[in-house]
Amino acid sequence: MNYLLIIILVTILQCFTGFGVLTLTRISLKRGIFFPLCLLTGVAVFSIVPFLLQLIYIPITRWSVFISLLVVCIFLNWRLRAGIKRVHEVWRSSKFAIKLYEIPALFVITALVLISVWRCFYWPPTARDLNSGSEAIAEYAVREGTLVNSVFSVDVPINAFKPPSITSLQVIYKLAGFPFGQLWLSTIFISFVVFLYHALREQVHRVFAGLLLIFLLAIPELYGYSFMVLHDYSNAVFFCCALYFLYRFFENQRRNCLLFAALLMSVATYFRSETLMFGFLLLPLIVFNQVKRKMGVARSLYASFLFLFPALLLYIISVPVYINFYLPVPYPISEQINKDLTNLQPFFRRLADMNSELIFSKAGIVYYGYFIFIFLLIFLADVLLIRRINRQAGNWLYAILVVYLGLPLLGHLLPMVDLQSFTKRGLQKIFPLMLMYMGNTQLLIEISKKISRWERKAQ
Amino acid sequence: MRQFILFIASATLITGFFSLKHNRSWLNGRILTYYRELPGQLKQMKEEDRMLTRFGSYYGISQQIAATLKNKSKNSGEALVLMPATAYFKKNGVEYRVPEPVVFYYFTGIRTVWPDSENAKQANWFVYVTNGQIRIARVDNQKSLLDTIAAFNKFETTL
Repeated sequence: MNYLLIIILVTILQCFTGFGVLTLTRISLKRGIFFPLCLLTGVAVFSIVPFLLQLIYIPITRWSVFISLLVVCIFLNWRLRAGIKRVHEVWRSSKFAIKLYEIPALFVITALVLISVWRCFYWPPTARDLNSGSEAIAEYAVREGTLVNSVFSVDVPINAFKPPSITSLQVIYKLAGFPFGQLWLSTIFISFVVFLYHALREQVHRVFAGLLLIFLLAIPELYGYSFMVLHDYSNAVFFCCALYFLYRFFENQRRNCLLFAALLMSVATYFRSETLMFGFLLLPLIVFNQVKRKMGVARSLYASFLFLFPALLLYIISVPVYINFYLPVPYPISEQINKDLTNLQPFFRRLADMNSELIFSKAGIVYYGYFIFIFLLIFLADVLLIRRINRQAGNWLYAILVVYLGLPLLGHLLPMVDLQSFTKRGLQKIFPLMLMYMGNTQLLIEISKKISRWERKAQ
Repeated sequence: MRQFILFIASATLITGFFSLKHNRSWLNGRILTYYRELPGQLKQMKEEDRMLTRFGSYYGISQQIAATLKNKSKNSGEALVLMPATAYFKKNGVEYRVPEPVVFYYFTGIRTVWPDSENAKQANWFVYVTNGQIRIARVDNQKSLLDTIAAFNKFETTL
């Protein structure tokens, strides 16, 4: 079978799997967000299936993996009829129309996406952290039929002990016929780009949505990881989507939004286990929002528990349980934790280094382009000109602060976490949040309204 | 007409953004190069060629070492090869960044061990350089292995 046909079949299966999850959680969205989210959720479910097979000791073969994926897809779609009815409504409720002024941005975005997809397909997995962990394990899992394979018979670095999210996806795509796997990253990338564009369009004018998205795509470091597989990009995507649904829950108080946010948060944690700490740092925001809406402290704490429980569960299964009861090589997690937690000097040193070496430096421009400065500019303009940070923008600002302070905090908690690889890549998480903040600022919303009014006058 | 004005505004803003110094060099160096690279890449679709182009000697020399071992030993799957550090190769005139054991295993299916590992003493083959040529030899006895490990450990092992 040729590559194109395989990728289409796998993507359809992913889309239906994600569709099943969205139907079960009764998430109602506009078309532009619904379909990319189906794919993202589908990839998330796929990333768990080979791992589950391993947990119950079923050999990982082409048949076992693809039959399992099919069974999971069918199982999740047991309310298919209701789902199709909803899709029909979603399809009818919004018209697909591209305006003339969207074309420049869409052209640039499409060009960047196509180049990324080709590179993702063409080049072998490159990142050292991947090849010395997930990729090596996936390659031998395909040959030996198990994730616990002969890779563990050589001296393995810490990368071999990460949760098997990427390993599972690599296994699926290698079994599907792609020698380097990887194309699942393009599915995540494209879905996320479409998702962000439509999420931005909900608040600001399409010209701004396109422009802001180009600012994000042109972050060299972030763009590089859209075709070079590693944990951080996917983690950033699911983390941002989790927050999007958490904030929707703040607005509409619908529990399915909270549940879906929690599921996405658990996937983000599955891709990068340290995300659990960011989850804990988000709890004050949940409690604050709920209490502000007079939900009572008990219900606020219950919402916090619901948000974090799936992430905690998946963390326990994929990290301590998997490492201690499945992997043949011991990995003492507790020994990685800083023994002198009360001494906060490493936290402040890391925070200072992060600012001086990564963000406000020449190297920072090379890594992240001008994105942070554009964010700061819009933030200052919003504060000084409008003098009001609306609730949505405030929520995204809080999330930015969580990542900004959370990364140095991780460096403090886990001394092995270094600045030039971990913190540098961890900052990828902050950019989609900055983008969402900018797309929710009162400044851009007001200007967007004026442009739309001016545009309508002509009609 | 107003849509057209917005079209011009959008195109101008995007052009302006990519005219900024670092954005322009990123666009020229990382994105537009794609159109020059693509024809060559389409002609070079074999996995092995793509690996070689991507990793260079990091992959190529590793493959050569593995091929030599497989020629010399019927049980190359049982081999544990003591591998000196990158600095050792450099000192002996060979440009070869040594992959860490798990990456070497991923590339070649051959198990290696670095001299600073506690498993180094279990090696049954070792790699060395003589007259600028990479050689691989079987470990004859434990004493010579310990001497070799000590000699290799004089070079710092780095990723």
